[in-house]
Amino acid sequence: MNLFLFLPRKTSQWLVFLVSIIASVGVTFFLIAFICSFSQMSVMFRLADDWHLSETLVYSTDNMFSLSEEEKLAEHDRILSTDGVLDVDNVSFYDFEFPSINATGDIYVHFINYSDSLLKDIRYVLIEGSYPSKDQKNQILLPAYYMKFYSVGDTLRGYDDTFHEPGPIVTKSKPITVTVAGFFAEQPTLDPWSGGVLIDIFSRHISYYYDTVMTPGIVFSMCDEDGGVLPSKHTDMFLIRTNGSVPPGQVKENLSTVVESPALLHTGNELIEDYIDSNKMEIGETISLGITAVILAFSILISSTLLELVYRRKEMATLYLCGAPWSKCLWTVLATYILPFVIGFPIGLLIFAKSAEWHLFYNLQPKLEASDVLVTLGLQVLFLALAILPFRFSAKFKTPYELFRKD
Amino acid sequence: MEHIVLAKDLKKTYRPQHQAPVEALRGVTLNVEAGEMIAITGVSGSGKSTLLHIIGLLDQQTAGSVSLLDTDPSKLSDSKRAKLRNREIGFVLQDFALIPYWTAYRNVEVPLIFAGKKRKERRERIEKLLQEFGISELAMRRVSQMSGGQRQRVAIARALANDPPLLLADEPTGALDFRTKEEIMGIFRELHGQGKTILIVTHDPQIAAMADRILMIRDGVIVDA
Repeated sequence: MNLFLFLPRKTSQWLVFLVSIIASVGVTFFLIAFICSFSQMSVMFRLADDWHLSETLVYSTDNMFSLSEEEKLAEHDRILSTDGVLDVDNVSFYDFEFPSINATGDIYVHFINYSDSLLKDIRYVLIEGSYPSKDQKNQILLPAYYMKFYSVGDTLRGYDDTFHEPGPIVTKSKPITVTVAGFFAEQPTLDPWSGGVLIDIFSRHISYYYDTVMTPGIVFSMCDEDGGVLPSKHTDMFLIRTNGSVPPGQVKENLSTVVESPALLHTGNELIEDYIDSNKMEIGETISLGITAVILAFSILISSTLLELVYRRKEMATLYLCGAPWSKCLWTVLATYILPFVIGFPIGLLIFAKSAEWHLFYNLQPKLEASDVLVTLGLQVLFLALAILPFRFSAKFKTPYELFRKD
Repeated sequence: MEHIVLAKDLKKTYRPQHQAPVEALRGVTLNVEAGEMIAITGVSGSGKSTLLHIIGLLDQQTAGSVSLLDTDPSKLSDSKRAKLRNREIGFVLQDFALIPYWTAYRNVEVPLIFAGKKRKERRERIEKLLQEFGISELAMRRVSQMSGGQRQRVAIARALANDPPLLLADEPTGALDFRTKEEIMGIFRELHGQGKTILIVTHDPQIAAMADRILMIRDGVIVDA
């Protein structure tokens, strides 16, 4: 009824209104960028926590240290028998080529093959399907991107296209048949090429970068069509879990004398530190976005809200005189003032979403997630409340009628 | 005779920050009967406006009691007090208390909006009031573009929008020239003739002379009635 009594009517009011819209757009843009950046930056920390990385060591073999299968098995056994080690999981990477079902060309899927013992810890968010049990062979989980090509239950027959060193010679090994068990949600991360060893290991199955799908599928037990377990690859790595009796640092020392290449052995905490060190720029960008959003919010958003309330105090007192409770006077003014936020909020979100095309950010991959939008909205409401609270507080001490006092 | 206002031993103390407390009212007792026109006079700072604001439910007394149309406002919530103010009291102030960039029509409409009147009902009432005060042609003109006399007429029309029984005026002619003052006085005289109860705070002996009773306040107490 009287919500928009105070729509701008004078040029100066229109100017304030316009500035408020711009402020709202700016605050929304920087807030969502900060939240998105924070969310992408923290993916690695969440994963590290899920994987109990602080109690784990990673031994990542490299092309330079390609060992024979026998040597690898021997190394695996030596690690397992070291003091403080609970178990050792072998993680292999495979590249498979599957024929496309909609004539868009063959599809290459990069798979990570985890051993059974990891199954109980690794839980990515599934948007369709279910996790295979450890007894189910060749049940694959694909990133959401592949939902447009495949459905849960589809059977795919492909070829292992793993490169063999030296040189880029592709060998087509035995065909492998897999069944799609489900699709997991992709989690965008910051620039996956700048994250150090940790992101190199963990982001392979959670990241994408702009239009490039980098997300491989996941399989927990891979066999060929004859039932034979696929041989491990030169890109293997061992995830070594400690049993808690010895600190991970001590386990690392114990293992240094056991593994072929101690330089490739890292504790989980070292990887996290390496990740932080490698992402100083990203973290700096995130902090800058947050500071900009807060400064904008406080300097323009809150001050203009407060100014508006002070500026309209006499008008609110007039409404009070005409028979409105003080709270209604306040909300009558604020209802109009909320309009710039209603207009500015979606514009800010839109600009942020479009900024993915404009490459505005050095590291951040702009992506609108419902949760990020809700948090941004919540923070904006909080900023508004911060602006209103002192006004409400002061209103208790200075009643509106005093504006009519002459003496 | 029906009592419109019954005030008993009203006291009001202001406590400005970093300053000594100011006793604006120090025990005022007042009965206002229906249809009466009372002038409240006194020097600046004597407490006459404070008395008017307490009776008009814009402020609350520190001690004592007020009854307005047999209702004790101190027992009401802020929204019920606002409702009572909206329906039963009209204000006419020296500085008009209008929203300057709104039209006369919109200014008069405000109390009707808060009273929950329908649009058609509001329009009819506003047109009647503006006609009555000879400003119907100015209905769509902004108040800021009007003369002092025209503004005060708009303010009186707004004060009467919900046809309240009690009209409170605080120096209603203080900002007007002689001729306009005469016009506004004429309106008050007419309203009094129609049976409205009117309390006018004024310095002007000519205005005070129109009243049935004159109350003089000095240092927060009524010294002459």
